[in-house]
Amino acid sequence: MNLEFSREEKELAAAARTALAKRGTVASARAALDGDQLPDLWELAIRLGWPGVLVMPGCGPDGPLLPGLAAAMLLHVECGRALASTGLPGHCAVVAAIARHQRHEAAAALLDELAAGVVRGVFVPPVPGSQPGQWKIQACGRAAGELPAAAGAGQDAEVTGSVTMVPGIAEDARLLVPVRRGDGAVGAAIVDGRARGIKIMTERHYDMTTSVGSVEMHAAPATMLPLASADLRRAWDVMQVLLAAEALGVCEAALEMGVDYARQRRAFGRPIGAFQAVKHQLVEVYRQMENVRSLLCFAAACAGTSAKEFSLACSCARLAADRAAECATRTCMTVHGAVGVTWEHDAHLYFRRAEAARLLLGGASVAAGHVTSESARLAEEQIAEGSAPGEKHAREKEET
Amino acid sequence: MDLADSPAEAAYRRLARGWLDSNARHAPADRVVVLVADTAPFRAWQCRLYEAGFVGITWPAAYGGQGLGQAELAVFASELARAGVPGPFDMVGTSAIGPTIIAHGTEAQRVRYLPKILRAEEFWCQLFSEPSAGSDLAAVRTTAKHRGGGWEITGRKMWTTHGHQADLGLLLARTDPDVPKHEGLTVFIVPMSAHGVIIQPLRLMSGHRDFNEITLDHVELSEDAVLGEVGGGWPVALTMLAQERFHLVAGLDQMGLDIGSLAASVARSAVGGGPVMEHNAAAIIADLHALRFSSYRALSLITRGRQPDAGAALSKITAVDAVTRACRFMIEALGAEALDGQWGELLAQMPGLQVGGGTREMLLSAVGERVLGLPRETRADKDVPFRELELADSGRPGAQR
Repeated sequence: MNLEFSREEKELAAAARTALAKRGTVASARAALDGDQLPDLWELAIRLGWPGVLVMPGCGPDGPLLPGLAAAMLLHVECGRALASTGLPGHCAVVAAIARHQRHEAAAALLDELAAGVVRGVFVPPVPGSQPGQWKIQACGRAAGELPAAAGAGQDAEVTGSVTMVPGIAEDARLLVPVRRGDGAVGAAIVDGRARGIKIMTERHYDMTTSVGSVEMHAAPATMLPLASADLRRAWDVMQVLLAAEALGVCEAALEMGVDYARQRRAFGRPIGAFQAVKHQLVEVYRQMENVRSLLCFAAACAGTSAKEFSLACSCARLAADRAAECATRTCMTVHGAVGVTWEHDAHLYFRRAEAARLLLGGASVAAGHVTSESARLAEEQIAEGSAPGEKHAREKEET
Repeated sequence: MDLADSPAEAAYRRLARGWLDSNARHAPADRVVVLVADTAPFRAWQCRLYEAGFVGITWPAAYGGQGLGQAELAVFASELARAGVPGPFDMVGTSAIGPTIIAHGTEAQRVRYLPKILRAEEFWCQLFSEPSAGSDLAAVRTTAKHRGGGWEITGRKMWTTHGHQADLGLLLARTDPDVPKHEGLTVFIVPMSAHGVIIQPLRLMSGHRDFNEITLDHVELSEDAVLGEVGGGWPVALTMLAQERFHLVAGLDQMGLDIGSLAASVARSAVGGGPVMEHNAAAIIADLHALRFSSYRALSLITRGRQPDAGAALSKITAVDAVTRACRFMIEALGAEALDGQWGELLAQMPGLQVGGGTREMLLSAVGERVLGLPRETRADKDVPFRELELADSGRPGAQR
């Protein structure tokens, strides 16, 4: 058993921290609230190799599920810490969907471009249903709808439909759209965001660093890729776990701010961090954060070995991470007292990010539903195989 | 990052699985619980495990152990769980007392006590906590007075697991009340059959008589009953407590609790129960898996020769919290009669587990100070001779601070 991050993985994260600090992304997040344009970090991302972070040697049809996931997680923790707006979770989701299809010409060509950062990927996420292979469109507080429809034969198709609450959507990108094909099966279409018949609207709510938007497609030209429902599911899982990693970064930054203040601010003759009422709140943040870190290890360990629990791990991480981010950002403000609720203090920037990001991909209700159904499905599977813990001995006891 | 065994771990797993496959039929039918009425089958099972080399896995070979690492210990624990059989019966002895005697005992003490721990021939308990010293353990009032060629012990000990079944106890007592509280302590080995040792069972809210209250009334001990140095009891107690904390999460397993099957029960009861039930269930399931991987993370560090920081102990809070919610969830799903079954029983054990090895507040403060670097609380008893504290506590006149 090895749950340590490798030296290369840690170095990638350290380089990301330095680079993002140099770019002043937290200051940009604040300036954007006052109307400034957010800087585009894609050039930086390309220079540091982030777009291809999931594509590692040995990653292919026969290799482990996603050996680059641990590195991608650490990178996203840094992006969350620095309030960076990169669009990387959706980009990595697209990479994850096609990474095992390198024998298909169009997929392999697209993968090369995505990994080099020549094109950006956007995952237009539906929600997996309770059964494998089932998909529906759903966003927080909105009714479920149908998948966009793809018409046409062979590799070329036209896609019609609309999806809202798409994280990181941009015109300058390739959209991976799960679609309903003419024969009723679920397929995967790649659509150019600038193609005819496409209307993209980006919105930013509450937090300028979390971009969402909607896409409307009217007979938009598309290339169909031979992806299975499991590939789309993997893309969705990867996006869940990377959003969890970003939320962990938000927690880390908020906890550090809170701890620094509690050590330095004095009241009644001592630093306020010496009071249990303050200290214990901060430790509660740390406890939840460490649980998220453990769940990220769960997902990374599954990704290294193609384990069955990967999907469960990703949604567990997302659920716990959003809860932790809420706790961390609110505690940060509480510890700061009235200073923490001023416009000048950075605490609200993290609070805004946590509140906006937690709604992505259907938020906690979709993650929770997925955790429960996936966990029940795995339990049934284990019982059917007779491999539940302790079962063997119990059976033998009954027999004797 | 992966969960696969190293080649050495895999070889050890094959060895353990092979042995368990052919020997599991000799195991007692029940899991080890804190209280076992008939200890004989459990002692026999420990002896069988020992003879096969599966007790004292991490102990040095010179003292009857296998000289292996935490990795092998963990592999064996997971194989025990897989086979559904209990491990060594005397967990206090094998996991905490033994290593403490190895670290602080004389050669004569090691030779005298260690082999019988391994074979479950002598059963141990810990005599640390008192009615007025729990979280503040260094404030123990039990006194040990040097008399002639030995020691005389007087005082009361509380919350003693296995006290009524133990042959020997490890006792923390005050040998010098004129120095600050941590400095005047000494650890003793006490035969539980000694004259003046009175054992009374203590019944907990779960209904179990897990614990005991022990009165020591002028109990006489010989000189060689001292473990470590006279006045050096605190470091010995810390060694013991560190071992105990280390095994707390394994303690869940000893209650017959398997995280995987608990998560499975919750999930299966939640499906189709509507969004509120699903949400509650999912939060419990996520916490249970976090618990599982937190212990793997600690283990991964330990097998690489590093120690997890004090924060790893926060798993106890997550465990108590998640298991409590899981029990309540199952009772809601199954109906009120489930309160009288296994779920109600497990639920009633959780508040006790919460306090075991230190209260929630003690743990939170320790992590806040040691891991987050927050300032320590102001301590009123710092550098004050114990005798003065005691006078102040009992409210006698003349006590001034």
